[in-house]
Amino acid sequence: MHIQIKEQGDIVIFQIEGEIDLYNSPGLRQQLTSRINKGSKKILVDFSNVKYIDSSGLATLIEGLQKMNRQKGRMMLCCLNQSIMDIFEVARLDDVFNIYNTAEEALDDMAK
Amino acid sequence: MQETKDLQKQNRRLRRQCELQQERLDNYKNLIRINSVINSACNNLDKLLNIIMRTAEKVMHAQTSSLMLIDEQTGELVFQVARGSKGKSIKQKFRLKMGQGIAGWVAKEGKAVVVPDTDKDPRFYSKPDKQSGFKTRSIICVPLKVRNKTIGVLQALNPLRKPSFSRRDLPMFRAFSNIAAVAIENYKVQDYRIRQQRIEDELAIAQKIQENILPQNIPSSSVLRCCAKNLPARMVGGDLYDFIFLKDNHIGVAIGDVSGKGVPAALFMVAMINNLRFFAQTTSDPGEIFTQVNKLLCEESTLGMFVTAAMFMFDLNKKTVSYANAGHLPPLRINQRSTPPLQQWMQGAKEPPLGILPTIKYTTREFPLDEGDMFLLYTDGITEARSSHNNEFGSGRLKKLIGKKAVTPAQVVESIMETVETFSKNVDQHDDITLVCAGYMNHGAGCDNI
Repeated sequence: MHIQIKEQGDIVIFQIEGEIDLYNSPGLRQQLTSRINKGSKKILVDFSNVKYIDSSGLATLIEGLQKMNRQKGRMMLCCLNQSIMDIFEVARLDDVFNIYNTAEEALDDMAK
Repeated sequence: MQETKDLQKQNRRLRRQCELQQERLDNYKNLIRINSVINSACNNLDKLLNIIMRTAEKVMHAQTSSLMLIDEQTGELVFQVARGSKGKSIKQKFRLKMGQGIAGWVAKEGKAVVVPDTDKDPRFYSKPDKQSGFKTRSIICVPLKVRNKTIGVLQALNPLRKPSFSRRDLPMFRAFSNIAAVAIENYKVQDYRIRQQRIEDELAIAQKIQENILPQNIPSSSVLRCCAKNLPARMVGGDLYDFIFLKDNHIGVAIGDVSGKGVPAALFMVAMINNLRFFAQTTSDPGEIFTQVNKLLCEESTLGMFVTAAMFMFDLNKKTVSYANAGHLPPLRINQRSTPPLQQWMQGAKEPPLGILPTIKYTTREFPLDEGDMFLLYTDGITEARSSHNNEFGSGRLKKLIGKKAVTPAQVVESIMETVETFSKNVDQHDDITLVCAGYMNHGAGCDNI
């Protein structure tokens, strides 16, 4: 897994590449937590290049979402491929997260 | 006359060479002896370091010595043993930064150094001397290296038989430090092994505890027969199942899968199963049980951990079953008595796993039981089992398999386990596996917890 972090205005974009699993989700957790603790109010996680996510990866995102909710921030996901979307749908997590088809849609909505 | 003088000169030279060779021979003998002494103390670090120091002083004919190991977290040099009457206070007081003092320089550069006179060497750090009252005149200091990595430094202070150390002392001290470094490394490896063993022993106990937490009492009446199998990927796991016997002929059958694996998942699994058992005593409505359990798990959850779970509550008096699903894989309902045989994924309501959103109200769906109904609950360890060609077992294979084999819950569970095992032959089990099958038989059929 490789994470690239970009900033667009007040939005922090996490571009993740590879698999998010038990072994590398602590790395993602650390970077998410660090941004959240710095007071970021808008985080977008871009799944364009994510091939697989396991339950540890989902838990990491949920933790991030819960922290963002507590500080009245917003965390969104975009560009999930079908197999990742299936994982979210089976676990009924598609309603827990705000999921967008494209980064543009998410950014437009966040800018509002 | 000249000849005699030459002979005398040659004689003196030969004697010196002889003495030198004898000294070398003694040193090698010493090293061999030291090696066995040092290795005999390999199971106690304090003892080992003390022997290293005592021997260093003897070998180098030094007044005292000290040994520092690098603290990998801070990069500082920490005095482990500083012998002699002033040693104790030094051990407790001083840490050197990389590059600080002679020892710091040796640790940083990874090179040995001989300081004949400390007063003339600007690298000498005099604070420890000032505080301990010891006067360091001359130092020989070498890095302790293992596989080219410096793990610390060893230094001998103040030679007893001569005013200062010289480069001639280096080969012996270097050879000695190599033996010492290997002995320290051996101790660390052995210590690590012992710690690992302790963790494994504790995990074996945890495994037993977890096995005992899973239900020992399995429904096996002629009306409702169940069968279950749980196979953690590691020693302990985050999968769970439960059978709950309530009044008025109500029997609950539940399955759950905690996010993640191993010890963290196992601890959360215990919280889940306890909450489930507690709230099942207050209501027989599975949706309501999940609603209550979820509220508590949301408080208990850390690091975003959650549980996907599904639960059936059989009412054997009314011949109905009610069902709730919290983000778990859809159970399979099978009935071979109907024509054509019924096989149906139970999609249920769209509600997320437990432990995420505290205010969710989980819904219950109730439907009548038909004779021959079987309900199969499973975790993704089954559907995501991998073959050696990296193919996924998948839900399609599961459904197809049951279409052929469904007879009793025990046979269903057994045949799935066998097929998955064959499918994943030569592949490490990737995730916890749990299977629960409940059959509303209304007639006798065998079942056990296989």
